[in-house]
Amino acid sequence: MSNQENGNQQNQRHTRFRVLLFTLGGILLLSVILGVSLGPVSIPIDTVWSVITYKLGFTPAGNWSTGVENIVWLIRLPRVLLAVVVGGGLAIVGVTLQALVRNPLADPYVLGISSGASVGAVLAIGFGVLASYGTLAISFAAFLGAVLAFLIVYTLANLGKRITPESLILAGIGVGYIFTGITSFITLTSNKRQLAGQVLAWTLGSLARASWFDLSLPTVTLLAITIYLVLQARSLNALIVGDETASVLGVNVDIFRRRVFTLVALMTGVMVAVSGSIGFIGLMIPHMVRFVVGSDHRKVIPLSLFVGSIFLIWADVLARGFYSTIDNPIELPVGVVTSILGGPFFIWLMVKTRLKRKVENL
Amino acid sequence: MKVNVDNASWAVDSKNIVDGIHLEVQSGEFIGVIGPNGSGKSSLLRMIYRLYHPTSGLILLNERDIWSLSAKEVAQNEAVLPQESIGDFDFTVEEIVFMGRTPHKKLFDVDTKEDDSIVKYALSRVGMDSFAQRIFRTLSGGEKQRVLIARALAQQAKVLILDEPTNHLDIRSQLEILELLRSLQVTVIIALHDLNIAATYCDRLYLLQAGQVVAHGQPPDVLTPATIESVYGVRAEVEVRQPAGRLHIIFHPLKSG
Repeated sequence: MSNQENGNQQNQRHTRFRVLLFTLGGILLLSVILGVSLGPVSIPIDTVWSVITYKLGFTPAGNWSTGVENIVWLIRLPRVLLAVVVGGGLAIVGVTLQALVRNPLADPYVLGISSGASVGAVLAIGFGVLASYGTLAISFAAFLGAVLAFLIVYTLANLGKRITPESLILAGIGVGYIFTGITSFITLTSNKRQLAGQVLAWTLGSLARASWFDLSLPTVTLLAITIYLVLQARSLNALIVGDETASVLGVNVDIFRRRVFTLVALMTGVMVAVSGSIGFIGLMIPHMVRFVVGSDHRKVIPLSLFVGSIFLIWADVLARGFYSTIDNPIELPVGVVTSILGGPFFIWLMVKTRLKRKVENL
Repeated sequence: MKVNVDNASWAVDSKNIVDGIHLEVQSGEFIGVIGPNGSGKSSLLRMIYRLYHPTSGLILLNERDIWSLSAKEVAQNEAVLPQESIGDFDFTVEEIVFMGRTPHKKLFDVDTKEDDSIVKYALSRVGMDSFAQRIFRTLSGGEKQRVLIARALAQQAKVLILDEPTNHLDIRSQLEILELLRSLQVTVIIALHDLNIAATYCDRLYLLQAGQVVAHGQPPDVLTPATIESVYGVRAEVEVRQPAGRLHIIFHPLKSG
């Protein structure tokens, strides 16, 4: 193969990445509009678009009712945007954690952060802890629980004075079990009958509480941390190959791992606080993206952001759909939808990996 | 680019794995580090490439303490092939070689045309240009080492440090790797197990035993039957093959009389 052919191939791959990025960007925009349009009350797409552009101050008001305007602007749009932020955020946490602990099975919940958040949430739901914060009480309590879990995991992982992939995973799983046990204990020994159902629904994840205010902190967190990670993509590439390789390529591995762990734990805490522990996105999206573009984080991070967002928008549309067809006041938690889709994917991934290994061993 | 190891030791639980080693490498030299398993070869190399901090003594890179430099500065001057397998995640050969550019990149730098041509040139020097788009994990052992050498070349470092790069390779691949390294015109520090290969390709050898240098110098001065027997516990004959004057070591079976 000549150098020129090689160069052309490389240009083609850069072009392919850009095409993917723009296509996914388009699909994301379309999904947001459709996500707002679909629901118990169906709203035409052009009305959705007009209300949004009107609210943003680009176009004059049209002849829609205040009810429609409120559904679009106050109820559905914040909810769909929360799906964008949480879905993208969880996918990026997954990508980063898998690199950080060099394990393709790591997900945002392997570090015990979400289990800590559950304890905070159950205290707020069941016993009115932090009730003075009103509607934010659950989120705030969950975030405090997440921070507490992070501090414990960090301290334990750091006992050897160096944070290694093994120490992180083991400390995270250990702490996760303890906090899950505490959540179960509180729930089952409480004399409040509905608590178990409420806690289960919270844990499985929901975007139903979304408001514009809920969006602010997750959005800022997602943007800031994503930009940092994209800038550090080369170091993540080196780290996913190996600690020693990263070191000899000039990455200060110990400091880098501490910093990135802290940032993704923070992002997990923020996402879980506003939406519960929505499963499988952090695990499955990174693998889907890697199947298509390989492992280079300069591509995997931005693409995972978009794919995670799009996936969660549609999972949430499905979750809302069940609510509208079943005569039941409790909406299906979106985490149920992602898990039911995620489980088969996980099994497929496992089988595929096994088959690949088998072929290589021949 | 000179490398000096000045009375350096490295200890685990106050047991010296490397014990007061002196080593001096001049620019352009091809230095072999040999010794039995557990003699401290890898630990010595890891001190030289700034992974292990010496418990005492100094590692100097061009007269400067390596720990007064950042990891990045060291990586601009030293390229390393560690004994580490590449994990479960798939990268193409080209992506692996591009990683060699990492120490030259600042936060906002993107890959330039220059990086492209450095990577291409590195791949062509190791004869792997046609493998650019292959998945690294699917290559043979010898091909993998060639790609990692290309990564080191893309790093544009003046010193190349290799920890037993010919392990598990067939004899032809071993010779190819050594001949490739000899052709690169950089300073090389290489840990090797095969004494015949070390004798054939290295300018000078350091022979380690229990963390100490027990012999160093040109191969004929280091690889004598007496030294081999005392360090490895194996009786050997050393022949000098004419006309090239190459050293040829023949080992006796342990149980022969």
